[in-house]
Amino acid sequence: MKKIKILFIEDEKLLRTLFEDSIAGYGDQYPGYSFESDATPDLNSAMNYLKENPAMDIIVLDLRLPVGETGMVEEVPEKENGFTILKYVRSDMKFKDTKVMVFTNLSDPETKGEAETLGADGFMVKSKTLPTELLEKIISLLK
Amino acid sequence: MNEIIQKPKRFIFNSLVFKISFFVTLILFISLAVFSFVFVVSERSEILKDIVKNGEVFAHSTVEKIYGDYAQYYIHPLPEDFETFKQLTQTTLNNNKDVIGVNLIAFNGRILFDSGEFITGKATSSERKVQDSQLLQILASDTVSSREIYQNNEWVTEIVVPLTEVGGGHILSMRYLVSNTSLNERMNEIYKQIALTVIPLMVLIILVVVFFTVPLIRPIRGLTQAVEKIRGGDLNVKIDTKSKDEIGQLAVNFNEMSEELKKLYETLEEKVRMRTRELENKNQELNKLNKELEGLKLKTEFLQIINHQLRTPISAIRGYLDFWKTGVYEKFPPQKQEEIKGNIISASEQLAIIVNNMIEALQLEADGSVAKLDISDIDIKGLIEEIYKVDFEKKCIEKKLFFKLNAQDVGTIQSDRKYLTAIISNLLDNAFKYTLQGGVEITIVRDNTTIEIRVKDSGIGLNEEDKLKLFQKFVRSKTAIKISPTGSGLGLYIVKKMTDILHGKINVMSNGTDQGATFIIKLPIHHEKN
Repeated sequence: MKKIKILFIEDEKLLRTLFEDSIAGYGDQYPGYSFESDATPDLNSAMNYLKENPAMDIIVLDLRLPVGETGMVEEVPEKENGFTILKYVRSDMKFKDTKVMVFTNLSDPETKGEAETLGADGFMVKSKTLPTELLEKIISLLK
Repeated sequence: MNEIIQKPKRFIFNSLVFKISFFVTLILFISLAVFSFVFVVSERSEILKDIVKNGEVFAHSTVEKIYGDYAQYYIHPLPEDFETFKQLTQTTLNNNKDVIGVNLIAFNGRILFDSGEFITGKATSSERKVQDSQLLQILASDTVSSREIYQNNEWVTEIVVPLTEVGGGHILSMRYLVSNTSLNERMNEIYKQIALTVIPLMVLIILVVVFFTVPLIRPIRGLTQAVEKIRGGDLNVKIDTKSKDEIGQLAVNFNEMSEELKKLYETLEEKVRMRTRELENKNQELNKLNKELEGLKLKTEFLQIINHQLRTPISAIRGYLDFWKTGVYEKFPPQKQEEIKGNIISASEQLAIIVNNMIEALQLEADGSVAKLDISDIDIKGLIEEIYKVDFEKKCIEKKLFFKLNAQDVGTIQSDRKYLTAIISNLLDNAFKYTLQGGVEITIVRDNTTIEIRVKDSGIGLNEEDKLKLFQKFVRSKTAIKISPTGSGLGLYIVKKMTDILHGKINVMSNGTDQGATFIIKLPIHHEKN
């Protein structure tokens, strides 16, 4: 039984819940794997989480993330905050076995190209992806 | 008027040409005066010499003129005694009508004779001895000299003729006194002569100077006037270029310059016109572009929001609905199933709120200040009570909150019922949503022109940053998101827009997080059409 540790970085609570529910619901469809997942809502909490828990198998990373908890949310946060996390993970040897799956609503080729350049292992557009498709992709990346 | 009279005057005295001609005239006049003075002096000297020459001082043969200009006389034979000498002197006096007195000093080798005081016919002379020093002084002088002296109540001229040793006898000096009256008569002749010469000469000088100056002044004045005209913007100025001198050349150059200036000015005007036209065109293009850009910006903004906000609930709804399709839903325990259903409802609610608010905001943005208002007299207290009863009473009781409305004699206001209802509903919705304990209190205060509605809650409050951004679109406070994840960030933006449309003002007060918040809306009582 292979244990897969997933960090889901996503600012929308509804999507974090859906993701966790999906793992609970679809997890047993992948025999030989067990899943352990966690979720963080913004740049600061994600960085803190990763510093304390470097042994992640895969990070599912939203790009447009708010920086932190305080203040007002401008509803379209910077995608740079997501890339900051990607750069950090790719610059630290602790994460050399960690896969990064960019999971965003930004479907333009530039964003995809930038993500690949910075070392993302996968790129999926949220609104076009069902939870089962996301899980399949995660498994295929880890095989 | 003064200006016009003064200008040419100033021009004359400041004119270089005038100055030069003035000095030339002055120098010529001075030369003339010097010449006249020298002439007078020399003529006077000639008259004096003439008197001496013509005097035939000693009428008898004993006195002979020897040399030309200088009266050199000798007496022959020399008088033996003073009486003879005196007679000689008297004869001299009698024989010359110009001479009114004679004094002789003579030496015969043995005796020095001096006729003493001037012999005037009346005066008696006495023998006197001449001092050696006087003698030497008389001998030292060798030219005829004269001076004016005052004697017997009249001015007379004394002429001194020094004499040298001649033959066997010596006459050392002859002194004549000449009446000024007769001298002046002869001098007046001279003055007349000078006047007749000098005055025509002066007139001639002035004429010559004017003759040479005026042709100089005229073109320079013309040039100055032309320059002034050009300065005034008249570029069609031409000056007369007939003269062949430097001024004429200057005029030719000036005309060329003004011609070039004119051409330059014309092309410049054309260039400026063209440039202005270009700029106007550019400006129009820019305005067009700007409008397009504004539209585009709005579009992009809404597209981003649609992308980010609408896709989230859609993704959630799709993802959850897939649970049924794949049969996974059945595997969840009943409690979890309820939760999933709740999430789907929440997502669709969020979708509805966002879509509704977005349409509303877009509508407000499109209408802006030209929004059509349906103005009527509104019983503001009654309206708030109605809104509370219909939409919020149930929620208030469920959350165990209180609601209080303080309004006494606030009467009616002229406003749009639809917008006013939306504003109050939005504020009450926020107040009840973000208040977990305590309650909501509305206070209405009225003065002559405005009505103030204060919506005070004991909810999560606002920090300084929240207060700054609160009324911008698509902005929500983090604390607000925690309490109510569904929301478009458009509610207060819409409230602000609507308040603007009703010519009102909205403000918020809060002492910080968990300190509650008070929204204050000020509306005019009487609606004024734009």
